[in-house]
Amino acid sequence: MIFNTWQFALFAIPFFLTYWLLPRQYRNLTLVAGGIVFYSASGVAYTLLIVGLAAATFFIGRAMANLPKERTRDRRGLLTLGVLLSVGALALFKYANLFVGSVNAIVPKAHLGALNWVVPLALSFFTFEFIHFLVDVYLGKIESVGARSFSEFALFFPTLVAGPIKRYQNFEPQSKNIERPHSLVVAANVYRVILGLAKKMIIADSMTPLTQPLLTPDPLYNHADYWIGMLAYTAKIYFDFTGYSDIAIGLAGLMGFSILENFDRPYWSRNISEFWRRWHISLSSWIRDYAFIPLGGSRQGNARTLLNLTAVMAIAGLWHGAAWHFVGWGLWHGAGLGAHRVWERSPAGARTAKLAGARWPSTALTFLFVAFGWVLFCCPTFDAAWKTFKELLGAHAF
Amino acid sequence: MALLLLADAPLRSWTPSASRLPEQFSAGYLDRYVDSLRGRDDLVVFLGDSALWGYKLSPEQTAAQALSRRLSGARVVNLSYEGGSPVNDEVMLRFLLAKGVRPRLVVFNVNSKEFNSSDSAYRRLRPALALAADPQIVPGLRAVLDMQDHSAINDRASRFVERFWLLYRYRVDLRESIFGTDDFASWLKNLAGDVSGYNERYRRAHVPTPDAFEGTYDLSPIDASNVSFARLLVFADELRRERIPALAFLTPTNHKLLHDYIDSPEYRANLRTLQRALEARGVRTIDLDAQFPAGAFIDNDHLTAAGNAELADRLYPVLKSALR
Repeated sequence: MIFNTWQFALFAIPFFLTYWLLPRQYRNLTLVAGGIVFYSASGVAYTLLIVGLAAATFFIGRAMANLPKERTRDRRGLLTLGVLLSVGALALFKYANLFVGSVNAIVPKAHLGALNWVVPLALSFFTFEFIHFLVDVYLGKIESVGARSFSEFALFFPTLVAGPIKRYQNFEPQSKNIERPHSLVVAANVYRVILGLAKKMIIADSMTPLTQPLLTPDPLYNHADYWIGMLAYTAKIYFDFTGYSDIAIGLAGLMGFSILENFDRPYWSRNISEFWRRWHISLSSWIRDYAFIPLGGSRQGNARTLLNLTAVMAIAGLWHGAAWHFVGWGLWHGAGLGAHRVWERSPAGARTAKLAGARWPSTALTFLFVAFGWVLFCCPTFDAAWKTFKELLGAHAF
Repeated sequence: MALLLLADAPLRSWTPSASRLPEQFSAGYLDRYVDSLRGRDDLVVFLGDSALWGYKLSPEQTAAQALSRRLSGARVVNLSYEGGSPVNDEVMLRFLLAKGVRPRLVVFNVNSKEFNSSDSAYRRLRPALALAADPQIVPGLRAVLDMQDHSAINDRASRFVERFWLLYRYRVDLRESIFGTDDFASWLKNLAGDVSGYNERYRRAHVPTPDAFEGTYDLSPIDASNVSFARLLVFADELRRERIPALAFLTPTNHKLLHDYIDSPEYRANLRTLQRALEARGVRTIDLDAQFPAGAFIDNDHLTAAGNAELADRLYPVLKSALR
């Protein structure tokens, strides 16, 4: 179910009435039932997948939490099993065809058959939440694991489709004490939902036709069309994604939950590191906590740090979509983060940072770097992206 | 939300008065527009397709509007639209009659391309008409139509909301009146195309060429098995039964552009079949098929402003005499 549909309105109105009119002790049950109904609209079979995966994650997490800390090996075994289940589901449903296609391209005689399965709605989001849960239980950051709280966490429909990726530690205390929000809070959250719908339906959707040069080649397009296309896509992806996040945060607020913000005016960032602290915050912090730091983070020298940055950004790219151009987009940002790290530690970088007038040029440069990166994200192939880059830079004749 | 609901107040007292249907119109708009015509005895109703609607022209440049200026004592209402066809004309007539609108004269164009089963309007109604005139679509007609399925939950909910929220019901019409095109996205695209020069390049690169119309005209003999022909006959019979005078004309067609496809005895024979069938049912039918020079066309069958003025000149004496 998608938020900007009448189908969702038909679901949400009775849901909220039931949620707030029933006695307090039924709120949690309503929340879980609502999540199942919401998810089932996209296919009952896939509801079994999310419920099954959530159940497995819960039981593994609880078994881990119940084991004494000294039984490190057993706990690590459970963690590995749980993470493999989530990663396995992701690999099977989302990446199997990419693998098959790549093998067939490299070894044409392989003739591997495609799976042609539909990717379950929000698979990337809930698997990341489950991995976070398991790792934090393993690390002792989550001590109590309750079935009720976890089922609400796993099936919390506002964040199911497009995040933000929640953290169990923030969610669980709220789920234990769901209070009816003050009327001003209700008004603010209704406003947030309407704002999100407007961002998505009025601004983001209206940008779509302008992005055609990046998607459909046409010899009639010129330099200006490609620039308009790139800037339109830069606006579209921001308003589309922040719109969804606004709706999710607003709906959560109407249910008495406070969800962390996912965006903080990212296009005003002065450098690419700052951009990633302000863009899709819940994903970038997940990548930092569960991929970058476990790989050694920035504690093992410059070369290793640059390698880690590149690797985790490639993973982040692949997370966005099962195609190599998404990996290219991740590598673009990995290279940007690496270059920025080298620059800010150089004497020239240190001097420039102190310059009073450096703010606007660096913001513009960062914006352009991000906008050029969206070309790799949006174009369906590397060839199309390369052609777009050449057109943007006026180098199409070469 | 309250503001959005308040915006309904002016909409409740609003009456559409345009001289032709907008390019995009909703079922709600059509319903209201036709309601506003009820009780008049001076209506000259134009039914047909984009050639009569005035494709790429402003309302003032159309033949219907030119005739409206010249025909005193008659109100010309242009209910043609892009995607019109004999089956659309038939349902529109039923809809008008069901609403208590009785034209003094019906004028319609007969476009030979709409008798081709691969034409998009061959057995398909314009969605707004299909929704507005749903009760008038009798089972026999419904059986031959390619009807869009509106039973999905989103469609049902949308229609339910349209019943009491007028701003939502007329969203298509309001968007067109605000942006002058389908919506904000199209307006933005046009603006960007003008800025980058793409629109001009596109126009130059897409000058109509004959091969663009390959397969548009079907030269196999028209008979009763042809859905458009069958519905044209039903439409003409309905006009006669209701004693509504009617005037038809065979749509002016660009023979220079389409020479390879239509300058043949089979094509002429089909036009004769259409003309005779209508004349036999009391509908005076003027053959304007090959009467206009290539310079009067934008493409295969859409006339320029000058072409529309010429069409009005040709129709005027016939209409004047029919209204006498």
